[in-house]
Amino acid sequence: MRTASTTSPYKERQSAGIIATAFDLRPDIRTADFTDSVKTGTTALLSAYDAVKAGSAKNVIVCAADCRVGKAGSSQEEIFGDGAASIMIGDSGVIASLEGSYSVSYDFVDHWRADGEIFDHQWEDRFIRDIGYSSFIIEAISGLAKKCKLDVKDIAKVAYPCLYPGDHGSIGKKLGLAPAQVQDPMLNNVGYTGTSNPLMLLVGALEDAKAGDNIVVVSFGNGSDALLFKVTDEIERVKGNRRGIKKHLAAKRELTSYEKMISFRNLIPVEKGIRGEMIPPTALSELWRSRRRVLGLCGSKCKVCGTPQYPVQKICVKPDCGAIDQMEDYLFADKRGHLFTYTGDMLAFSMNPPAIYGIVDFEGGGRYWFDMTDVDQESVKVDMPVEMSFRKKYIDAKSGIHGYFWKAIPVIG
Amino acid sequence: MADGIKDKVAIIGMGCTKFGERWEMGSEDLMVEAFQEAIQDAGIEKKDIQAAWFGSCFDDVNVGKAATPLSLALKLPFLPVTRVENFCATGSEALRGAAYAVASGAYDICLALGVEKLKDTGYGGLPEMSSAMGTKNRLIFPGITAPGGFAMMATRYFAKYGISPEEGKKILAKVSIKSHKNGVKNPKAHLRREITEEQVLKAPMIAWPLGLFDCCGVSDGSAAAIVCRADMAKNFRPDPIRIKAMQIAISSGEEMMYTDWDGTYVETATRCAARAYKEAGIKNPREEISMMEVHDCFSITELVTYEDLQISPRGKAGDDVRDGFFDLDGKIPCQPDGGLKCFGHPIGATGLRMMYEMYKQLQGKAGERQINDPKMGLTHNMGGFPAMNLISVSIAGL
Repeated sequence: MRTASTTSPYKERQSAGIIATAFDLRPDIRTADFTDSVKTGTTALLSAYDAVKAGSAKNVIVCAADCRVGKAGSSQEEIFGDGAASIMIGDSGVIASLEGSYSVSYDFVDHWRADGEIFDHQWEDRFIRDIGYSSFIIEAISGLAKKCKLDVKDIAKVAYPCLYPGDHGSIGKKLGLAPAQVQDPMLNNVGYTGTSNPLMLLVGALEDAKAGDNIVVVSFGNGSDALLFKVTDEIERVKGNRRGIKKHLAAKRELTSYEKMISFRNLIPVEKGIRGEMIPPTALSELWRSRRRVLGLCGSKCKVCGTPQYPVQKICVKPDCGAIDQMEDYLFADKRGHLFTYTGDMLAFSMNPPAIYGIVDFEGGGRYWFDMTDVDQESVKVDMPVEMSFRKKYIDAKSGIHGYFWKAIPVIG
Repeated sequence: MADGIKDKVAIIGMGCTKFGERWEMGSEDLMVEAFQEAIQDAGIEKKDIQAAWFGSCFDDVNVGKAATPLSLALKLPFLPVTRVENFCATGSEALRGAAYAVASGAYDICLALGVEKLKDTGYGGLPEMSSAMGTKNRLIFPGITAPGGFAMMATRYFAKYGISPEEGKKILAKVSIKSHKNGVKNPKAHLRREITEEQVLKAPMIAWPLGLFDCCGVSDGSAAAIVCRADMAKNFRPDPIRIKAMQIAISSGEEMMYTDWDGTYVETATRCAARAYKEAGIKNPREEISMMEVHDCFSITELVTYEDLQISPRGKAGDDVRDGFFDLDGKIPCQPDGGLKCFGHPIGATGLRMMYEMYKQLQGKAGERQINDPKMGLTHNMGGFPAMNLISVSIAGL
């Protein structure tokens, strides 16, 4: 498990560990966080590839995510977007094989953020554009082409971040790429998503790829990594049955309030009321012993009567069963359900009131209550199909704790 | 073979403070106020009390833990005192403890007293609940509040019976309007004014579909009871009230984690009521119960409680509400004192406050709220959420 981010919730507590638990991965795996540069999404990918190639790992999941914030009125605020992508690197069922890579690394200080700071500092745009952005990406792609004896004409798609729309186009031109060969950098509909950006662009390119296509994915930040993928026949197996970029974009909801957006990012003080300020302490020993049921949404299923139940019970909850210690693990994270009932609560504290929560009846059995998200009072209905999504539940700023759990959301696509 | 406590215990004195925003009164002051009224009413002295049960719920914003707050406030002479807490049914639990102790033969005379000081939190509604739910639940419970927990029952009730939210809210409005009408007549109630349907329907939303007037008030208060062996009760007064039944039922988890419960009723209340009727020897509650004080924390709770208590058929409580069945001059007046709706809900005191009204009504001392010749009064006190809760049902008669 590898994660990449420059905006991890913790300075010390591994994000990869949190996500591996959310995935309910077994413990005898290697986990690592890649951070401190927006280039690091591709670096994590290359590290995963190296591990698989060297035979020290069979499968490695790479998750890149960023929620970078810019000051009000800054160009960062304008171009930054939040986003995440996850890529599985392995040696079987490969849909795109990594044919080669070329990296350049420079201590190029175009922007920086010191320990404890929220916002980036940035040097002059002309400097970033001319010396960094327009130079390193070309250097990496040219190096890759030379190394892999690749004619740019034979590339189906080149995916690289967009910091400056005009210069994004110029880079393609300088490399001799036709506009159709350049992957849409999603600046207008998602924004520049930091570490996850190249990985999201790769997912976007794969959605439209066919067997035999060459896809080049490039990052930017303290240098650049360029990776060449060759799409295989296996692409047909996954095409259309992944959420990817398209389905997530199709499920989008408009957030029209700027004030709400910056309040969600904790950039303006929000009146929480005394109720909202009261966050009970998190018992970390409790979180440890309940880690699979909390972070992994793993419940139990009675081996005697087959009833799934959440959270894990020692005594079966089915009234006429009641078997003791006859439980096996049962994962709810991947189960869909129907909304049994709900409310929109104006008394409960919520960053986005009303706090909408409800009771979910899972397909295959099991019932529990959950916070809901990605819904509003008007869109939520009794019996609507829902799925589970791993989300932030609370921030206890006083103790420096970010609580994560699963929330019910409308089924996507 | 155990045969319950029917007619073994009598209430010979009760006290109840004025409920409300008692900014100038601490919990200790409220306890003394309720206690004084109770012992004067019983015609006993402090030294006659042999043991006490003390109910308080949110100890951290109230009087603190343990039984010492009661003993210290009342200067009880080194008596055995037990503190009980069972969510919002805490007051009933204090009375149950005292009554069962007398029924057991261990004591002749016991005190039950409940108190809650909700107005020291600094915000509206009940105190924030997640810290009261244990270390695991706070990691996985939604950010739930009391109105939200009960609103989900309204959502489900409306969906099952095909009632539009607009229609549903009109039925619920009638429940609240009726209680406010009664509360006006009660000098001890917190909220003492009539409300109109228009006010209810236009009130701010608290937890959809419940608006402000679907929710009970938040108040400070205390109530107390003196119980003794039934066979000695007439030594103290000519009109003691006998306890006919005192039952509680607690969720097993199946409502929340198994999928049979349909969310339109309260399973524990249904079971608890059946047990209480059996203990009291009541065959037909709709005919035999004279009056009720139920746990109307929210209008929807009162509505489904009519059904859980076998007064109204399932899905038909709205018809009885429309017919005025539960009005003060109806067949079974409900919330004659104004209910939680007008008293607010100082948790430790509420169950005892309900019994206080039944007690006064049975004695014919309810003033302008007096119900004509009541024989059997029922209290229903609920704690938790419909999906996970506890219920207390008590029945008292002459």
